[in-house]
Amino acid sequence: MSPIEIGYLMIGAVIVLLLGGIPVALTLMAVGAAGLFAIRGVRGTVFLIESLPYTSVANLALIVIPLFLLMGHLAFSAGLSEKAYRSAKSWVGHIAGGLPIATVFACAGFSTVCGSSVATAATISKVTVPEMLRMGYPQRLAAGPVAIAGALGILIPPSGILIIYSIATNVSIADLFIGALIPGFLTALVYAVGLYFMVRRDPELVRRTRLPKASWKERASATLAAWEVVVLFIVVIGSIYSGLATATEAAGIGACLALVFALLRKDRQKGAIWNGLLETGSSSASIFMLMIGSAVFSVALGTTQLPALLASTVAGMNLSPVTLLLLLIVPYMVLGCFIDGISMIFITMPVVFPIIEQAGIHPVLFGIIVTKLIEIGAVTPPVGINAFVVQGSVPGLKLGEIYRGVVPFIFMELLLIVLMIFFPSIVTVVLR
Amino acid sequence: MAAAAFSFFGHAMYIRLNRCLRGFCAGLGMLSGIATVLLMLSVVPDILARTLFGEAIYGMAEAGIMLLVLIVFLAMPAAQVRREHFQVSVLDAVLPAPAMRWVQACRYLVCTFISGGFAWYAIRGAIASTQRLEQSYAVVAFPVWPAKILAALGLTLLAVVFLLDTLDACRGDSAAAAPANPVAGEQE
Repeated sequence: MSPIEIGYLMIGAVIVLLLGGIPVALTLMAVGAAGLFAIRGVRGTVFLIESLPYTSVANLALIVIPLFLLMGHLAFSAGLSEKAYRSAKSWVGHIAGGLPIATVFACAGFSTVCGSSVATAATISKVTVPEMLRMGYPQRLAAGPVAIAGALGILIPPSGILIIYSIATNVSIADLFIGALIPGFLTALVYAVGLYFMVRRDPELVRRTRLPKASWKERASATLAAWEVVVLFIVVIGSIYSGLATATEAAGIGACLALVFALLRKDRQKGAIWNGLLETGSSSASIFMLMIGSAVFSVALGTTQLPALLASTVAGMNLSPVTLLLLLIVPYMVLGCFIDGISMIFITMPVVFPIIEQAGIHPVLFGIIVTKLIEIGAVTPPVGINAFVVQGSVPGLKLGEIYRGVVPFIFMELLLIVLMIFFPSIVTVVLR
Repeated sequence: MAAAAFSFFGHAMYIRLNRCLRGFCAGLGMLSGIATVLLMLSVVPDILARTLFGEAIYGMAEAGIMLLVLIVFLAMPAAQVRREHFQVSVLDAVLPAPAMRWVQACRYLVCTFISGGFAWYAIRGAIASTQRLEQSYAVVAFPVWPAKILAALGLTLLAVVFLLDTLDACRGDSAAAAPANPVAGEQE
């Protein structure tokens, strides 16, 4: 059997094992190891299998992952999500669709200190959805926006997915974070405008749900109360953007500040910080386990020469970067329905990234587009984890209503992706 | 009667052992979280030293790598106890409950073999590294062998947790294997 045929067999085996419900990391480890044994023989493989689990983890640059995870968990323990919501509500609560719009901005605000879409959706939905339902918003308008806007957690830096993309492709984390700023806040703005027009179509709903306009004093007070969010964002992203700190250093300082904020919180839930620590540990372990699997699989797949062959085949088709990116949307959207974003990156990048490089597509642009497709995957059935999280956070919510609620936002997302493909400067203009 | 007594006590002992091992792994997960705080506390003074005095603290980078290995491999079995390892569960929704039990048992058995295989090779690597007292030579010489032992320990305990999950699934005992967190396994 030729190495290329072994490569195809490996991809087939990955699909079969994943559908069989074997964890993604173990699937990649097993298939990668089997592929290596088939190509290199026992002698050439044993050394790699003995050392790869350790060498894939023991890398100073990877310290950034547990530190940003810790920062997100501690930001949640510090109650920053509620403060972000109260501040956003004081500014936009009085306009048509004020509360869902405030929810979107609260998600964007909390995303600046938390890199997880699940954490963002879970924390914001607990605060906002019951209030919106009480005010008379239908379930789809109360829960849909928080499910999709929660996914901003993986786009607005510091983003867990962008860190993973950076590790899988060797693209600079700082560039990815900076490149994600405009698309992240633009997405929040597009959602807000969309919500405004969706609610304005129903005058009765506008009348029922409009809040009294907050005074400038109230706005200033609510915004000042959320000072921790602003400080964390400035310290983390400001220091990276200005070149004062590397991503690892910014993550360390951010986690330290978040710990101080969590410790200073007076109404802190008992055990919240300990729970955050346990979650940071096990989240780090499951991500690194994927990285070990990806390392074994990438080495094996690289040995088969299949990625290089595919890259040269696609290059031979003479597709323009725009056509190639448009064609890649479909498989990523389909994958996103079944596989979580982190796994999707580790599974696809060994094959897709060489093609992207060969086509001359900006790797930061591609990272942002993939992240936006993962955002869509977070709310589309059957996996749609954010929809489940929102449903689980608020008793009585119907899953079908949440899925109905996110449909308009999926179209907005696709519109933004197409815009970025045709105007890459939306992402690249801020890159130095 | 003797068989019934043996079965009863065997069952009780298995339950106790199962709980002890899972509790131990969860405890290691907590240690991993504490190690993350230590990692954070090691990064910040290093930044301050470099900013204020223009010099890094010697050995901090190496200690950071050691802590990272500790965080990852200690929490690996805890992540399985909490069902946090990423997986695709498309088939689960369409399978009937009785079939699901055996599918789960087969799944966990496959996972036991895969993680056991990697644990076996990690143990071999750790023994070889310990025998030659392997060190890394960067700014300071730092022992690597303790980290390799940790890697082997983490993978071995992961295989043990998968084995317990297999036995639980075969016995139809869902209580011991119930996930601690309903949305676990998703860090997006």
